[in-house]
Amino acid sequence: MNKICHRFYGGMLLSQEKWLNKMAAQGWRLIRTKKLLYEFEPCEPNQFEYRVEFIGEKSPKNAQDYASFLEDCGYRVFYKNINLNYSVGKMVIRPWAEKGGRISTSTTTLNRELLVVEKQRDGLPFELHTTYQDKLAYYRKLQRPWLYFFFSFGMVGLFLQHWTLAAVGSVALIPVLLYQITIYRLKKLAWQQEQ
Amino acid sequence: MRFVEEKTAGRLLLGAGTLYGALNSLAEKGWIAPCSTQSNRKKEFLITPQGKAVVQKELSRLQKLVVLAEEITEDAQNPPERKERAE
Repeated sequence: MNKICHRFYGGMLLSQEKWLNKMAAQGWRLIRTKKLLYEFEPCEPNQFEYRVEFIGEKSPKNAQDYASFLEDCGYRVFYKNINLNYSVGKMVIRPWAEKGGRISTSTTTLNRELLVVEKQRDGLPFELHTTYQDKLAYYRKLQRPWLYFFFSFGMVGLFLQHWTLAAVGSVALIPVLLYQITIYRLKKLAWQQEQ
Repeated sequence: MRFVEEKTAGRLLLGAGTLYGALNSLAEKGWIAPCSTQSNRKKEFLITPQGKAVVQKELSRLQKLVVLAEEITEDAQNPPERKERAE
């Protein structure tokens, strides 16, 4: 019998990944995702493992191309939303995205900002990004939307002396700092390996 | 990915995301070109003449580096005898 869970992780990619891997360790394989819903079917414990990747900066064409590439590599992919957005016909401007992805609509990349990637366990490590250069680029990509959020709300709030707006914007500094720490650690590791 | 892992005896592990970025980067530089047909959706590339020239250049650079390293290590193992200055 299938299991349905309702969860919302928002931008907490690692927590979502850990939970999916915990479910897989208990013998549950992901078969469907919706905004708040995850549906699982029974499988062998630890038969599958998951990674959650942010693709919100990609253009619709590149996001589809990347998902197809992962499928060609033998993985199963599920799209997932990073925000809770129930509006129809909404348009979002993403200045931090790549060319072609800066205007996101509900028919393109809106509510499809994450990819849940499933791999059948084969004893080999499962990492989507393996070089320091690529990992750094990925974490910078993750940091950018939060930086924009901080500048657009936090700085405008400070400028207008609208303290609620400034406080909301300042919350974005937490993920900015956390990603900056990861970037710093990766740079240090890359430097140590070069020595 | 499996090929790279086997050929490098596990020294280099190539993730799918990293490979995707590398392929796009090589295609942007014009060193490889897509060769997939309409019936085959799978991403396939062929090395271009420009790509072959770059590979040859890099191979030559690495060969020169090996020769230089061998020369240096040989010199370190067999240092030339010091010539006494004739008075």
